[in-house]
Amino acid sequence: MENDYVELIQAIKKGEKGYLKEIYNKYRKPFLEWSAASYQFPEHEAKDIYQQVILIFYENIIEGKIERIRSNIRTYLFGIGKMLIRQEYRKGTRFTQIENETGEIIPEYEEMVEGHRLELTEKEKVMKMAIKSLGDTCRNILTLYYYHRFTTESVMNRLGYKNTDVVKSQKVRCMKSLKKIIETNFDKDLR
Amino acid sequence: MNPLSESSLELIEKYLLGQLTKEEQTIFDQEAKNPRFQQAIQDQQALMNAFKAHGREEIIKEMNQWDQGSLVQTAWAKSPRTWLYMTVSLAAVISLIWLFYLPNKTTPATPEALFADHFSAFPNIISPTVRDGNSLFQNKDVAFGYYDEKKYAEAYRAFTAMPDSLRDSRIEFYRGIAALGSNQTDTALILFRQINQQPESRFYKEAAWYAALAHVKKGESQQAIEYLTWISENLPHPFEKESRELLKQLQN
Repeated sequence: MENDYVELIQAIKKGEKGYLKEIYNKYRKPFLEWSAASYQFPEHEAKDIYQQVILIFYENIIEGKIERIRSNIRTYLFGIGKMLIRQEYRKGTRFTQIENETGEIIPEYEEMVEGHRLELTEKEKVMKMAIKSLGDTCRNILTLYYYHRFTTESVMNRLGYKNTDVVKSQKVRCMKSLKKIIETNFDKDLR
Repeated sequence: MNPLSESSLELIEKYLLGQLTKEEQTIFDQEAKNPRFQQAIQDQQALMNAFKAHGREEIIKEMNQWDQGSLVQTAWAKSPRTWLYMTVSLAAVISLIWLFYLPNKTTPATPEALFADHFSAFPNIISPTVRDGNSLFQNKDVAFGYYDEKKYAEAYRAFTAMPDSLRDSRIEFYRGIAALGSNQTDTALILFRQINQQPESRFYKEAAWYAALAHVKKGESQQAIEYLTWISENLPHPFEKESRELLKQLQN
């Protein structure tokens, strides 16, 4: 693809999921085959790893950590996959074939994978339950803002609101609702 | 204790989203000396982590749905023999019908019949409709929802209602198909002609096929032949086979 995938990355950043889906479908089978051949990963485990790879790829884009890919997408994704597989081995659940490799550890991939880890505190778990308790509209708006990193204008276009002021008011209302749910139902758990 | 001001909370949010300007960073650094401000940063970070975990779950759900779509294709691919037997049987049945029951096959088809024989909407590869409670609908998704359900008049209206800034040539291509599917043939032609003049457009080649179909529908064989000839001169083309077939029918 032209220009180091800049266009593709910009499109995904703007929320065009179709491109992410194309990438997911395109590299899924090759990744599963490669992980089975290279590391004897059964398909269901390899699939979980692959989905984490795509997640890391997506989050790097929406968080502005990558704006171009100088190699190709396959190399990029498989590089991340290799690091995730290393992590699995380090957990000690698998024999150490990977440690016998003389291959390189690429620092940026390792950093990416380390940075991707998310272990919620008890407080954060409770907050996540509160998010799920929100109505669809509020959950969607706030997830677009806080996870997908949409701007107010992008939220307006995505959800079909009239103008950005309406979006901002809705967001404020939704945050109040969320905080109320946390206070009313879960605050006792947070003390 | 007085809560922090809206502007302070906004500043914290922008900080955590990496959106602070230089001036805002200066203000932020100043406010960050305040213990209440520091606590608010931690609280907001916790909320963002919770949203991250939730957002990840949503995306993984979608990826699993994408797998379902892929599995359907794989099932076909894994049973080529079944596919082959079915194809051969169907071909045999159709041949029998053709030999014994169809009227004289040299009767020329009407424009409408010819169009109906060849028209099928181009698959939606831009904005797949996600059918679950967590779908994040936008104008574009509404339009494609109608499109996927073959409600072309509604799809055309929804595409047309999108802001101009969002209607790139890919959207215009689907808008053209929706127009064609809802008998707005002249509008469809304008759109396909425009796209077929933009080599950089994703659907530059496909637009020629649909322009040909639009002319067929209008009974304008000569113009249709021109587009089909263009297709034969611009191979490979996604509708190469269909185009050859239609060209043969128009030239007979």
